[in-house]
Amino acid sequence: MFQITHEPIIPAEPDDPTVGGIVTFEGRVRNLNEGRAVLALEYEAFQEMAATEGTSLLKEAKLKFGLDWVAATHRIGRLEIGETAVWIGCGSPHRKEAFLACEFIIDELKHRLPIWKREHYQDGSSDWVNLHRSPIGAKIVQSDVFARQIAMPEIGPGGQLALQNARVLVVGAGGLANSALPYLAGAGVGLIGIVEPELLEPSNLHRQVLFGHNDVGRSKAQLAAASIRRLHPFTQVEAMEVRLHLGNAEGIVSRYDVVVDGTDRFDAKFLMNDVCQRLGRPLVQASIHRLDGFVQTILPGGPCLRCQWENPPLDGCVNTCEEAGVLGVVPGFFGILQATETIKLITGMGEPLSRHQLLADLRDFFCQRIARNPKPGCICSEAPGWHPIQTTLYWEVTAEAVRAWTRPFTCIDLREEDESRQKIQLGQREWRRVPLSTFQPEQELEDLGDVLLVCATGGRSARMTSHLREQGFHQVFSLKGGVRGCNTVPQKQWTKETLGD
Amino acid sequence: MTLTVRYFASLRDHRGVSQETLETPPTSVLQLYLSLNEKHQFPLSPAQVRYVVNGAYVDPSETLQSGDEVVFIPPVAGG
Repeated sequence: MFQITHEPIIPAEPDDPTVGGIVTFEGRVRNLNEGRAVLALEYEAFQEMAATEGTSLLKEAKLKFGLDWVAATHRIGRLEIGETAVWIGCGSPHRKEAFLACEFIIDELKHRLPIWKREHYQDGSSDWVNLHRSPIGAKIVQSDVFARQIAMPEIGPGGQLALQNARVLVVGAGGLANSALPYLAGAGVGLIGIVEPELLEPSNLHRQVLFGHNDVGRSKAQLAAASIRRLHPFTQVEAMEVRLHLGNAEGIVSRYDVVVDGTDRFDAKFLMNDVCQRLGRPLVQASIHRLDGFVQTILPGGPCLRCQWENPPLDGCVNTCEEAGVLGVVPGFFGILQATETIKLITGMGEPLSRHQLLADLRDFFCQRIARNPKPGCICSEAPGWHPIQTTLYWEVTAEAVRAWTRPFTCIDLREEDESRQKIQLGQREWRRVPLSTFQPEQELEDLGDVLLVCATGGRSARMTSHLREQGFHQVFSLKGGVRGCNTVPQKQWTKETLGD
Repeated sequence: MTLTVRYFASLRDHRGVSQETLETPPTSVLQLYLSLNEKHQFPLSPAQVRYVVNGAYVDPSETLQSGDEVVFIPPVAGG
């Protein structure tokens, strides 16, 4: 039973004496959030919907985990430090399900229930806690906008959710940034920050493609932000009309997951290098000169910029765009490569240029991947490790995870008559072929228990699973990557360890 | 057509009222948010908001009808 109350929470009690193993969770008000000292929290709810969503969530948990008993209460109003905001209790015949159910309920509740909290800080200010993460089950699979990307096995709904949850900082709003920004926003990156102090000049226009002639004299950061917001309303943009320097770099970078270097000055590049190593953020760097350039990705742990250059070369020893001249296609080309690397980092697709530099000369398209090695004793050797952005689309499961399932399940293969008949062995009790075009949920899923939907690459099964879950079929899962995904080498998750060959 | 719009959390703070009645031409709920956003410059992009019409979550493309009650749900932070 789900309750919302203004009063201090009193834990519920099962009235059935056969309920033996009970697991409870309590969410309490902490005095710290992201480094800011919190005095109190204020919870607000859209009560009618919170109650119905909460009740249906508990029902779903009861079915999913086979619970004997489940109850939860969420408190609203003003809460002091140490008070309990949410309480969950689960009882099941075997304790494992009760633990899992508690975790499931608190995770889902945080994303599904229309409840908001405002933090009151010690300095007297207060802020709504805006999770920059979108709710689980946000209709990304149905969104026509990203359908073509989601159809790629390398991306899928999980990759798209990672993009939506990603926060990318683009430093500079010049040629490289103008090229990278629209592709990052176009791919669905949820939050983009732009750091650029300068105003638009006429000589920028030939290569900085987000700007128009009527914009000359205005702030480049604001112009770029406005352009991206107009083209891609699903991306939030923060424009910072400042120059990145020692005093503000850590504060700014710490609010983002990945940094894209769109600057043309060594001191800025080295500052970003050092700050990213210190904070454990990947840095996608590019530099151009006339008709050539390079791009590389610097992961926490290196090899980093200082492995190659212990100290920044003096500004002026290499010509700037003003002195050497440049064609718009050059930053255009490398900016897109930077967007590509960033998307790869976020989605786990392919391999980043973390151990190489890609050098390209557009005169004759000479391209070379030059190996980079870490220098022992460099600052990067002490950097914290980094893991790709996590997603929790729990109903999209890998073959490996399915093989570890303990409850019996049925596979339903949604591929059409003219597609491959190849089956895969995941431990299912039955494999049924029901082409998507003839699929009738009520009939097919009746009395089946857990069902794993499967198709060629995981796209159709994901869309159907998402659709069915919204209709209340909570026992349905989708095989990530589909049948073809089981036949290929799994994507590498790179960390300092896997790269340290 | 006539609609009621309810605001919560940061949207309510920004808009200054928790509820208002509007006259609009036929529109989808996403279009309604976009046009209100142009006027009021909400702190949230359309992708961060979820759309509720008459007590149920709907797709952003849902067409509105006269008498509907619309709620824009900011990113939630319960728990």
